[in-house]
Amino acid sequence: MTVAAQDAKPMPAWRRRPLLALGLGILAAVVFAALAAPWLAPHDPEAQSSLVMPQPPSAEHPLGTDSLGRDLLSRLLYGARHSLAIGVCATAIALGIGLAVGLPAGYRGGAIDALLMRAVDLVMAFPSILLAAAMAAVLPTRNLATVLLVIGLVNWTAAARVIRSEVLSLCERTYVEAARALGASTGRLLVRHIAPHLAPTLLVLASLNAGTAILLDTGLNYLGMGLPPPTPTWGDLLREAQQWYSTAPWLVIWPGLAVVVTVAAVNLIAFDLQRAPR
Amino acid sequence: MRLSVAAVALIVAVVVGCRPSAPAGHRSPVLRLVIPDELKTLDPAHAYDTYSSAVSHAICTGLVDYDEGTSLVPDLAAGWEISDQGRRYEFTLRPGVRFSTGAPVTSEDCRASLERVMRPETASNVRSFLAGIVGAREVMEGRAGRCTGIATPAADRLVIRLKEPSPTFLYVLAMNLGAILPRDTARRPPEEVSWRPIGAGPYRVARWDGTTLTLAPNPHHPDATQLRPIALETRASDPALMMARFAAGEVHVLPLVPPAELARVRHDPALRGRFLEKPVNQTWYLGMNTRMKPFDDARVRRAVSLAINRQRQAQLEGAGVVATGMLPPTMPGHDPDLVPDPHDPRRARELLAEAGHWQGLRTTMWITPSYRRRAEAIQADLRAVGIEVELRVVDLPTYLDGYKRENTAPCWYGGWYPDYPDPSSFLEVLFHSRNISPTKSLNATRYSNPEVDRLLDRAARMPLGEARLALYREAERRILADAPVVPLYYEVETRLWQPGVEGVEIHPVWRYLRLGRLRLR
Repeated sequence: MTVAAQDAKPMPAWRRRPLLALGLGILAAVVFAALAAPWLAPHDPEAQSSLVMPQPPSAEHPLGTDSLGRDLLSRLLYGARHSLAIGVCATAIALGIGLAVGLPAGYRGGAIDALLMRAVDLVMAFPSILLAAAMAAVLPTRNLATVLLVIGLVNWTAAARVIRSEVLSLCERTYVEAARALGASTGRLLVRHIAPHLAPTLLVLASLNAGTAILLDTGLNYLGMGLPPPTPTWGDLLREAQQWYSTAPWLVIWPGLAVVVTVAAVNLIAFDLQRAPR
Repeated sequence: MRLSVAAVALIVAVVVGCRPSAPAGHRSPVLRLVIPDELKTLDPAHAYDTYSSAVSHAICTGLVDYDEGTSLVPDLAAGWEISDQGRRYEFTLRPGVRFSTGAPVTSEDCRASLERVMRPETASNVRSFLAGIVGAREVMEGRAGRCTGIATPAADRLVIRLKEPSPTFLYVLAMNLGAILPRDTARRPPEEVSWRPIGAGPYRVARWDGTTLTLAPNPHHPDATQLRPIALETRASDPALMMARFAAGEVHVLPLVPPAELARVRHDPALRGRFLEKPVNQTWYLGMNTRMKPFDDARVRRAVSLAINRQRQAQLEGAGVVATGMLPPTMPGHDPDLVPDPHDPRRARELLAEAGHWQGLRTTMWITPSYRRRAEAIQADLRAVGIEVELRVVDLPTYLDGYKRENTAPCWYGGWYPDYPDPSSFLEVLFHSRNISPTKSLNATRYSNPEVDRLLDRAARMPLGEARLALYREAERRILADAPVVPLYYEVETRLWQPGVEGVEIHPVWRYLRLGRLRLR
């Protein structure tokens, strides 16, 4: 037994954490597809043909074309760039706002906490997609930066709440109390003693938030409130597919699958990180 | 045991509740119809959009109506005489006509109905159409209760006097605003009339629950015995779902075949004789603000016209006829000799270079979400000649405000269908310099050509007839030469109906079904 135990190899990381491995694997594939879109895409995603009806998959168009004759595979690949950019950048904005609200609320408590948390409640009272659509509607122009901002601005509330409760708990820790007793300033306490311990929480929040951001962006584009045409986005592909779902189902299947698989991958990563021992 | 009885009851309720409604085939007692939009009102003084006006017209009819085309025929009137060089209209009412309440239609009802549209408290957005009647201004401004230009010499005779001859006045009376209501209804507050108007049309309102309107035949209408009750479902906006419901027999008439299904429907032998497609009085166009760069240069506008593939535009929404001018073939005055600009990107690039844009140019096109696909095709056409177009997708009210406001929208995708089938309601409204204003400009291209103005003014004063139409054709040719708009295609409507349904038509003016003409065997 002893010999056998000594001979046993340590289990590879992907077997110990298969969900994380699966999520990361899918996400890596999507990231690769997005980055390599100019080389992988068989056609210009915005190039139209003279067609007025969607064409089924063929050798020239492996996933078929949309009703303007544009290659669906190329549009999906370029759409991945947009979705991932939104997933990363809008999450950064949301976490930034979440930190700016959650840290002082949890650390100061009292009236500041009450005020900030009521602000969170106010934003949470509106459905995210409704709030995002309303904000997008009043924008003077819609481009990647403004869409990012809109999604970041409606998607920060959960992060603020979680960060606040985490800070509340961290403030009770003995090492924080010791630092405070030694005369550490508020800034030093927050930066040196509290913020580093928020990192695992932020990682989980980031992965959860990225999935929500991609879905919100898809929803906005589906409603026609996202980027202006002809930029290909997954939501836009789904919106366009709506009137063809009975005659050209491939227009719905591929973008739908892309959204589901990418969001599922991000959620698998978040799920594993949540369960992982800290 | 009590639980299992409850469970069985629940299952039965769910199964019954989920069962599709009875198919709309033979022997159905009710005609089941759908409209894709909401129903905004049934009040003829306010009904102005496609669906509200068509449904209101089934309840409240007027003195005149259209035949199957664009010719006027008597409706509540038996006939009319025009005298005093087109300033005096005398109508004789059809004997025996009754409202759905049973009361006879008299000339006093006609007077009360027209005055109701004029009165400020009715707040009708179409009352200006009646401004040409003597004394109408006073009523509109609240300075008089009665319109001095309307007289009722007998219960069956109505006289209307106009300030100036107006060859289109009968067309105005054929609009919803010319509908006749009983005088006591006409004096009620507008909110009481909105969903319960009384009229002498083939139908009366039986029930309105906010989603479905139930219409019952007007028992006093001559066609009452041939009519079936109608259940009209509103907000049926998903065309693919509507097609599926039609196939399941839940809907008797499909007012619009989805573009995705059109090719199949056209060639389906089972649907032969139950499918109709026909052009109507609507022209889709690309409008350009002639006072904004780069479209203040006629060469740029001509280049745009040459760059656009009209044939493709006509096919993108399933059906459409390439536009040769602004007046559709169903419109009096349509010029059959007009030829559209060819799709010639090379010549377009040359013109742009002549105009100093050899390095290309950028502009913005205003659209609503529903124009997006067609606008994307134009965006690609213009990119091919060096014009980068940013599509500004906005909601309908923003779009309507934006493209009619000065210095706001350089170009826009637009559609126009007139109030009545007279060339003036296309050419005068859209291109006379009198209609240019800083906001809500009907002449949104801000096109101004004194010679065109003179032609339009001359034509407007002439009686209906070929000489008048010739002037409009001349005006249209001059407008097209200056290219403030690129006419793209004429709208083609489609209808599909179930066996046993009769009277389905595509009318050039009434854009939805004329409900009183539908029959169900």
